Amino acid sequence: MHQDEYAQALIKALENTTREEAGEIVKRFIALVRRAGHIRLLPKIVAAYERLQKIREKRSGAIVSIAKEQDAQIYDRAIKEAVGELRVSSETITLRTDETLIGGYRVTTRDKMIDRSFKRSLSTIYHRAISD
Amino acid sequence: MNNIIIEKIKKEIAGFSPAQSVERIGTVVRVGDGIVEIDGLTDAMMSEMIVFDDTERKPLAETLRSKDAVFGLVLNLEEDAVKAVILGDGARVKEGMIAKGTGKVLSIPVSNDLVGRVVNALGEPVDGKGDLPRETFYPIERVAYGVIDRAPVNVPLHTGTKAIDAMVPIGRGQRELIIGDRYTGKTIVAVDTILNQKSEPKETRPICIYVAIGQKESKVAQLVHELETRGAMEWSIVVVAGASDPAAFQFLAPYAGAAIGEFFMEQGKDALVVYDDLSKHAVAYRQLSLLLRRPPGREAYPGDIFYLHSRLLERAAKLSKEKGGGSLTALPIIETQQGDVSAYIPTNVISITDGQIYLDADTFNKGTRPAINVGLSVSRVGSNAQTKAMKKVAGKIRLELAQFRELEAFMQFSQDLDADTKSRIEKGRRLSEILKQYKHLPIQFERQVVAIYAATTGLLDTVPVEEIGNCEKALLHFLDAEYASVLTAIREKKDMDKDTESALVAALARFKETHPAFFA
Repeated sequence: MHQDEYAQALIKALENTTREEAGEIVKRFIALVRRAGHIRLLPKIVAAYERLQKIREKRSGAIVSIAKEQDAQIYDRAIKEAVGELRVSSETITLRTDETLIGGYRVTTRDKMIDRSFKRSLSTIYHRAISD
Repeated sequence: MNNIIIEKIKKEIAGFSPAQSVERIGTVVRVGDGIVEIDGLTDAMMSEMIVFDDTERKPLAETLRSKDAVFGLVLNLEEDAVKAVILGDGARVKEGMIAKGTGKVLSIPVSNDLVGRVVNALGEPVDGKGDLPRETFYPIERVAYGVIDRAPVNVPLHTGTKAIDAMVPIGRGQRELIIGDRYTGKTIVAVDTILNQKSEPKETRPICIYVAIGQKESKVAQLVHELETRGAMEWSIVVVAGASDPAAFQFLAPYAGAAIGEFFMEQGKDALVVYDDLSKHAVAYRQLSLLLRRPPGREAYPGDIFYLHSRLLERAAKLSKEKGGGSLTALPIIETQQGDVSAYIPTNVISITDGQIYLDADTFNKGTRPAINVGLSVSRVGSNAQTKAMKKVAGKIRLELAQFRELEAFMQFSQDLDADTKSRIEKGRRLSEILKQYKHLPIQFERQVVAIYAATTGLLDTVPVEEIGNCEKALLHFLDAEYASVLTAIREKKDMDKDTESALVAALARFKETHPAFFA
C-alpha cells in the first residue's frame, strides 16, 4: 500500500500552505519518490491522493436528510440547532431528500448523527411495544 | 395485529418523546473476509460492540420486517479508520452502510438456564430448545481476579481416570493442560471428567462447560449425544464455534466459556471449563490478525499470541471465602504435531498452566489407554489436590512406574536379570495394567483407591498381567456385594484410617480366597 502512504504524507505536507509553497513541496515530493525508486507508482499515488482528498472533504461536512423539500423550511430552526450541536459549519452542509424518512430530519457527519426522522421514531415505538 | 400490541403501541405513543441524543456513527468503506473498515467512530473503544444499520434508504415497512441486527466487534483502532470483525451474516454488511457504536464492550447473556443447553460464542442457543433469558450479561473480556481475592487450591476435582487422579491430581481452580498428538485421547480425558461428576453430591458438583473450537460439527453432535445419553447435560453446557463458523466466533468462544464459568463461580459454585482446543483457537486468531494487517511474528502468529491464552487461562481461579469460595477449573487442550512439545503454541500454554497431562501416540498405539506419559506429565498443585485416602495409596506409584520404565528399556538388551529386577518389572507391568481404563467409564475415587491399594500392596503379584483388568472388575464387584461399607467409609471420610484399612485388608484376603482362578 505504498501509494496510500505517499498520498497521505503529501496531503499532510500540503496542509495550510500557500500556492508557491505547495509547488515547491510537490517538486521535492517527486524527487523523493524518484530517489526511492518508486517513480512508477506516481499515477497510483495521484489516484490515491484524489481518493483520500474526497474522503477528507466529506469528513468535514454534514449531510442533512429530509423526506420532502418543504421539510427544510419546516424544520429549519431544529436543523440549525442540530448542526450547531454537531459543531459543523453551515457552509459545508449538503441537503438530501430521502422519502423513506417519512418526515422529520436527520443530520449526519463523519462520526456523529442526530436522527429525528419519523421513520426512526415509529421504528423505536414498534420495537419497544413488541419487545415485552 | 392483536389487541395487546395495539394497546402497547398506543401507550408508547402517549408517553413517547423522541431521542435527543447524538449517536456515534461511522461509514463502512471496505468489507471482506469478515473484516470491516469503518471511517468515523472516532471515540470507538477496543472490543466495543458496533451495530450495522441496514435500514438506510429502506421504507418503514421493510425496516420493521428487517432481520435481527448484524453486530461487529472493534479490534483495531487506527489513525484514520476503525477495523472490526463481523459477528453474524457478513453478506448483509455493505460498503457505505452506517455502523453505530453501542458504547458497550461485548457481553453474553448468562443465567442458570444455560445448564443443559448448547450455545454459540454469543450465548445464542443453537440446540433448537427455545430462547434463553437475556437479563444478566457478563463481559466476554474481563480482568482476572487478583492475588488477594484468591485462595489456595486444595479441593480435588476427580476426573475418574485412575492414572490422573493418582499421579497427576487436579484441584478445583487449577489449570491443567491436556496435550498430545491427534487421536491420542485428549477429548476423552476431558469428557470422562465431565461424566465422572455424576458421582459428586449435587451440592458440590461442578457445572461443566465444554467449549468446542474449530471442531467438526459431527464430532460435537456426537459428544452432546453422549452427554445426553449419560445424563451429564444435567450439569453441562456446550459452547460451539465449529469449523464452519467464522474465525471471529472461534476466537470468542473460549472467552464466552470463561464468562459463563465466572457467572457460576461468583455464585459460590464450582465450575469446570474445557477448551477443545486452543491450537485451533490460535490459528483462528492468527487468521483474524493477518486480515487486520497486524504484523506477523513467529510462524505468522501475531505478537500477542501468548497474551491471547494467558488472559484466558488466568480467569480460572479458586476464590477466597470473602468472594464466595467458588472456583473455575480450566482444562485447555493443545494438539501437538508428531509429539513436538517444544513448538511455539504448546510451550506458551505449558508455561501458563499449572501442569500438563501428556498423551503419547506410541503408548496409545501399543494399546495402553489412557496413553498418559507419566514422565512428562505433572501437576504443580500435586497432592494438595488429593484426598488423604488417595495420597496414602498413590504416593509410591509414580516412582515405581518411573523405575519400571527404565528397567523395561534395559530388559530389551539383557535376558539375565537378577530376581529383584525381575520382580520390579513384574510389579511395574501390573501397575501399568491396573491404570488402564476404557473410555467413557470413569471410576469413582473410592474405587480407584481400592484398586491401586490392591496393586501396590502385592495382591495382584500372582495374577497374570492379561487378567489384571478382569480381576479388578471382579474385585470391585465383590466389594460392592459384600464389603460396601469399606467403599462407603472411604467415600465419606475421604481418608483410609486404620479401621478402614484393616477392613479393606480383610476384604482383599477374602477376595483372594473366593476367587482362586485369578491367582496362579
